[in-house]
Amino acid sequence: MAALLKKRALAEYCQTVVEEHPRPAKRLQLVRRARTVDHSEFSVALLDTAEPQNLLPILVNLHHALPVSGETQTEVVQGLMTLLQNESHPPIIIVKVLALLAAVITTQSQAQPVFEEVMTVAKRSKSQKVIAQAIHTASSLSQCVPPDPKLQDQVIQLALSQFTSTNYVIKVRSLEAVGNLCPTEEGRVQSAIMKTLIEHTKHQDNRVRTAAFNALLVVQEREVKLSPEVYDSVCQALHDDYQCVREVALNLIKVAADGDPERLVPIPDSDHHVRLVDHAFSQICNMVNDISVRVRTKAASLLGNMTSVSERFLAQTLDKKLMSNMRRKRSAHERARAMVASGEWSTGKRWSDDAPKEQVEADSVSVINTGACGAFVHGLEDEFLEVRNATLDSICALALNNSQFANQSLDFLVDMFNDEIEEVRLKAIQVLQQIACHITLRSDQLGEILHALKDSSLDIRESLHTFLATTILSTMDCIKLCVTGLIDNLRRYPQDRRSIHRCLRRLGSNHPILVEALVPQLLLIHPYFDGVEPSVQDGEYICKLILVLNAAVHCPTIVPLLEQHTLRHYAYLRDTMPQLVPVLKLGEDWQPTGEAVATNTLRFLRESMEKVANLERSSTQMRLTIYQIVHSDLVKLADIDPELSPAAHFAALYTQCMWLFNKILSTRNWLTPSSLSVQQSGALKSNVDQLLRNTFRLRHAFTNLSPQAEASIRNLRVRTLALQLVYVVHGSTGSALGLCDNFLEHTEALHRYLTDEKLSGDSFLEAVFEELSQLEEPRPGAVARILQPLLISHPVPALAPITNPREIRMCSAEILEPQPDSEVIYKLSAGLVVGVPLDAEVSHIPNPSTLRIRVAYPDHSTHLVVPPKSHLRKVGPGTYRLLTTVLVSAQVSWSEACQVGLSLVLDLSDQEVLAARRHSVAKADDSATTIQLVKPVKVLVWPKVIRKGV
Amino acid sequence: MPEIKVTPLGAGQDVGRSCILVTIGGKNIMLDCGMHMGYNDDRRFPDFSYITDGPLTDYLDCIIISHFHLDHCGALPYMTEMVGYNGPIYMTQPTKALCPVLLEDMRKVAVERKGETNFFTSVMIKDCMKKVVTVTLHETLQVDSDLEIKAYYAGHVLGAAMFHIRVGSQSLVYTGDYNMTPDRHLGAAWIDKCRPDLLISESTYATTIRDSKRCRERDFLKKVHDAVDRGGKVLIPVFALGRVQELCILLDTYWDRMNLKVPIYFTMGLAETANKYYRMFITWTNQKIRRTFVHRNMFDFKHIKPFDKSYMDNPGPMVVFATPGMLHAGLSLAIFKKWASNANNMVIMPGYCVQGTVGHKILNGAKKIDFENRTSVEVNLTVEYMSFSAHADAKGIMQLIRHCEPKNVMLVHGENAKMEFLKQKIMQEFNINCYKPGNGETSIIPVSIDLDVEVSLPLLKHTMALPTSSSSSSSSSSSSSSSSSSSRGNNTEENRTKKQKVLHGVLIMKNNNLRIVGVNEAWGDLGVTAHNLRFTERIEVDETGPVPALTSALHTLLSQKLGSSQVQAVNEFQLSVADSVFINIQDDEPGKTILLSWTHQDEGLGSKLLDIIKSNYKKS
Repeated sequence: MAALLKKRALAEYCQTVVEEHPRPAKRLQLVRRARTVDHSEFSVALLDTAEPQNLLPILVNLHHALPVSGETQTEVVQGLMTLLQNESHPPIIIVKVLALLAAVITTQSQAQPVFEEVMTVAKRSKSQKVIAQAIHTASSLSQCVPPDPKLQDQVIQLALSQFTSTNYVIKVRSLEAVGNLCPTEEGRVQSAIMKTLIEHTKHQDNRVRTAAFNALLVVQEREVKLSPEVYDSVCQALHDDYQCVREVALNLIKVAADGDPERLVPIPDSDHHVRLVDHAFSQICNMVNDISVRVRTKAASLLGNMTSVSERFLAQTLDKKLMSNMRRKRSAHERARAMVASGEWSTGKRWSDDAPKEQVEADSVSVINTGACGAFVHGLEDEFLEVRNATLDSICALALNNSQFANQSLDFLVDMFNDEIEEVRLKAIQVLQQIACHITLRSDQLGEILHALKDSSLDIRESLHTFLATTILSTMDCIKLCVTGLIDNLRRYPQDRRSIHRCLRRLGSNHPILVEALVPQLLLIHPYFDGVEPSVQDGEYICKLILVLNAAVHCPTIVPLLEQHTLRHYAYLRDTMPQLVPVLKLGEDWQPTGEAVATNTLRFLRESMEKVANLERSSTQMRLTIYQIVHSDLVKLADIDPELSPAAHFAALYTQCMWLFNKILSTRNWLTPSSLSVQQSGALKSNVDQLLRNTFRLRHAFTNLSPQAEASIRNLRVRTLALQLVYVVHGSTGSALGLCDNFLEHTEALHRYLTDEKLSGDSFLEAVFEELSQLEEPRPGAVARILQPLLISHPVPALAPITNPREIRMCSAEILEPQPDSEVIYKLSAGLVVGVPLDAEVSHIPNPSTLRIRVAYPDHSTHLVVPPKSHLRKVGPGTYRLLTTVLVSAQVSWSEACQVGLSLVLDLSDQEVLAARRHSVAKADDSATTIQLVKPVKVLVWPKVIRKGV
Repeated sequence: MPEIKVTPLGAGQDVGRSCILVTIGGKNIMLDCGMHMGYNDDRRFPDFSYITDGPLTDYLDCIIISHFHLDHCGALPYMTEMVGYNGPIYMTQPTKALCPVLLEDMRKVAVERKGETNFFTSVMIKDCMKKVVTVTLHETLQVDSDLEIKAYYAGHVLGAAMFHIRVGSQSLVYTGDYNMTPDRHLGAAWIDKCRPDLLISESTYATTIRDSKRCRERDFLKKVHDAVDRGGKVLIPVFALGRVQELCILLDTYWDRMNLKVPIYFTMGLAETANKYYRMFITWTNQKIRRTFVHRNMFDFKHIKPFDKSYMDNPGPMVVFATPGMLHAGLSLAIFKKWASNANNMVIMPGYCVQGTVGHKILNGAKKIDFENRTSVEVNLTVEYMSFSAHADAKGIMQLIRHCEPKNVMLVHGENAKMEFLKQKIMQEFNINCYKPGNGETSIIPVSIDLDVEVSLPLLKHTMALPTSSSSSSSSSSSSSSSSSSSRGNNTEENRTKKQKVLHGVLIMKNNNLRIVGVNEAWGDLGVTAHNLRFTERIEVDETGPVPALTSALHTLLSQKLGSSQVQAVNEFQLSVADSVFINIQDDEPGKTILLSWTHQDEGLGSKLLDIIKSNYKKS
């Protein structure tokens, strides 16, 4: 056996191998891949030349390239037409071509010839998709401006003839077409179309039904009167199995009700009639209980548009009969109302008050909602916030027109404050605020509302403040409740201070009489005992003062009630927060003196500036001194008079620039810095830098300037750049090419600006223009040589008198949170981030997108953070509120908490200074391109070592 | 048989011990398998001997458990392990997770505290849960080739589901317990328009229409807050799962908002395990929790701490959630005994209490409660009832019926008198039958049965191709759909597809299926040779001309009368009409004889021809 095996194995080895012919290498078929056509490089020529299989991508590209204009449009149409005439193309190509034709052609003159072709395609083709698209295209072609009734007739005929088809696409397209083209004047065609449309509202395919209702909607919008029959079929369609049908039916019902609100509709099983709008309203109300969220949302939002519904139906929407074990029960709302009516206070201790009352007859209970009953109650209880929001909107819209309904809905709105989703709570408050003029609050309702002040959401609290500021309260107790609530709010959330102050101010001026009665209570005034003088640092006391003082304006009898120290505090408050405390007519002693000065500040500003302007002849030393004095005067003025503050800042900055100029130019040997002592050259350099920064700030931080002022600033800026150029050319060895370009750019820009505004430049600029025009090639050296004498020979002109000092605006910001003296330490693991909440108000910034948060770390590194756009809320024109979280991080752990500075800046690096940046003039310090809006607020941050093994 | 048989073993005109037997399309299904809380003897479990003595596997096709409450699943281990059942048990994922937790707890109470014997063991619970098949929402699950089930969201508690059961064309929906208004942690029940033959609905609150939930919540919070403010202790007896989570969320957020410092406790162990599962099954909760759980899982409570028995005697106010919910045993009862005599304290019953429990007694105003071991307690504390049960109220039940449009409704899981009211309402509003069988009573619901008949394609095509000639007028008047009698061209085409047509064929019943085939096809199938029945009539006419002349004359005559396409000349002596009626003309001196022959099927045509010929060629 073994031998045999061996033999066999050997035999295997000595097998002769017949060498086969080497297989011919597989022929490589080189297929030229179709060039993928770019959207940008679509050309009409491709349409004629392309292979049939490549046509579709080309057409798709054409679609992306839309819209095409003029020349190409005609070519494209031509190309498409040839494609259309070729019968050999597959249907999908034809469909696409037809769709494109509809999109490309806009005018009637073009539509005419194409239309014929489309019609023949529709007649010729057997593909249902092609026919459907052809109808669609024909319909849109016939609607090109100006519409051609003849074409439209043809389309209608075509569409009507295609209704025999069983395909739903064709039917849908045909319905759309006849809906869009239905003639507005009555006639045979119109009645035929209406008949078809109505017939198809009962079609077996839900898509066709939807299209039929949609077409009816379009027809109705074209002000064709719908027959009553339509309304009936729409009402039936509300019970359709498909939500798309129900949705469009809802729309149609609403439109029908708008069209003919007063028609009487019979109620089935009775001989009563109701108005159509009421009937429609109750039908839509029914749909608030629908199975589908979309339909419910739609129904809830439609209710708000039906303002002409009668009161009886409207009242029902908030009605819900309660029962418990077959006994009638009163709802909590009714109980609360009864409690107030009976003069009792809700103690919350009467437990049995919700005990079921009388027995109800089984027959009299309607368990199922018919009509408008309880629609809003259900809408507000819905599972989905979309529906609840829509319901709130509707309630708001209806309540605005009907104060009775507004009062009824009040309880429900207040209930919504208890909703689990903040968005809904917020909306409820907003609705309440909108209808505030219609309602008077009972104290129990107010209690519920004030409860929401404890909410942790800032938005909710603030909108509630606005609501309280607008609403009218009925009793003294309400005011008291309000004040206690607000003060409690202040205690919980100190960051609400400003909002609460504003609220109290309005509250006081709205209810002077009610406040008057409360004054002794609020301010703890005892008839014959002297109380302790409260501290003006006490936030709660200030709140009460704001309320009382604002009421006192409208109710002069309050003032005699106040104690001496209160009046003293009034003077203090009038100084510290003038916008919150009004002017009271008090005796001489208490009149704050601020008002008397106000008239003089303007004159002082003028005088100061004149002083500067009249310095032509005086010595350099004299000038420098005066500049400095004027500058410090103006800075103080800015502090004193808030109204003139921007103008004063403006003038002060300008004066400082003049001082710097003179200082630099008067420095001996300023052109040869190498010969200066270290100290001198340092001072010189810092002066130049300061000058650059100042002019930059002048240029960008102020808005609402007169053209003259604008021009003089630009002049100053150019002059500064010239000075910088000269200084750099002489003082350093580096290239000044960039600086030179930058200077020239600015000069040109200024030149353009001056010619546009028809202003004349100052003498320096004139000279510069003149000299530069003679220069062949603006090389830095040459330019500097020209500029140097000009700088000295043309002194800086004084600022032209400011024509509108009160209108100048300076961008500024105020950081409300974090507080500067807070001792909170933000701890984080090194390498991770920690969020520091930032709340700031920014005013008068020209472009909010340039706003940045500047984070300065103790190691002198700074980061500019772009705040998310959604965190910036517009409060007023040019005024924004920034509510965001700044992410602070550190790579290594610190041994202790250190201060990180947060401030707001405007980053203008990509505007004017782009050129400078490009020429790498900018220094590592970003101050050359940013404008600081506010002093940095320091927060304590402490990155710690990451714990190992977590 | 076209009927659905329903026999409640529990929950028929009663609350507790839900167990409903259904026979539908030849399948036997048990819906829920619960126990009664009010009894401690044999009555607490359903009477399985109703089905058979001994193992039930052969008699049941499947068991469906709607949710994890003990009155819906409490008897499950007893049934599967002690009575014997090996078939599939269906429930949702959360139910499967939480069911054993509850069963184990109940077993402990029964065996370890009450010292019962002959109770199921932990091992049995485990074995029982191994038989469970989980169902996802809206997933159609084939139990076997005929029976399919589908679960819908039911609200009520985490994982509660309604089941749609279908056998062939018969279907029923079992709701279990459900809630039509959303609450703090669960959404509302939802079902599509499935139009079942029968809807078996719970009806716990058949005669109640509730106030808005926001009012109820506010009321509840107010009561708790006031009691705590006056230094009282608040006891809220709850079942470990379901309402307690709802109330915890409510109180937790309220405490957060009001910044209250009074401690809230809940019983350790069970509720904690349950919370763990609640945190996991976020997809089963409502919109709000689903949206915010990434930020913070709402079931991670901030203010609620676990309870220890020693806290019971602590001074000062506190709020305690304790199990069980009806004050019939366990910790809640122990706390109640301690606190009942102090008038400052309060007990809030947040749900329904079965008759016979302490909860039921105090709700009915009992001032003194006697216990089994001859002790008694004065009830001085305030007793509050807050309807926080997540059951649908009368409006909700009606709404569900309206949404799913059943052909019949059956009410279970409710008190008889209340069900009667709702039954009347349902019959009145929807005009459908409503049943409410008691325990052990069988309701037979007749259903219209749909038969599937297969029609052969050639026959259909043939019938469709036939012109609607003489019968069209009668059929169009009978078809109600095309009421518009418009004669415009574009309508006739569409109406033709909708128009009813008479179809001639043979109905063959074979191998449990039905077929309609054409006559010839049937002959072929059955191997039967066709017998033709022909009528022949001879008409003698006085006609002298040659035969072909008469033939052609006859041809023209008939062509005029019937249309030229119908009449064909076969040869000089023969005509054929509509391929089936033959006319032979014979030369029969002195006149001619026309031989007319037609089949039985063409009776109408034949006699018409006869009339025509007779009237034209009357023998003089």
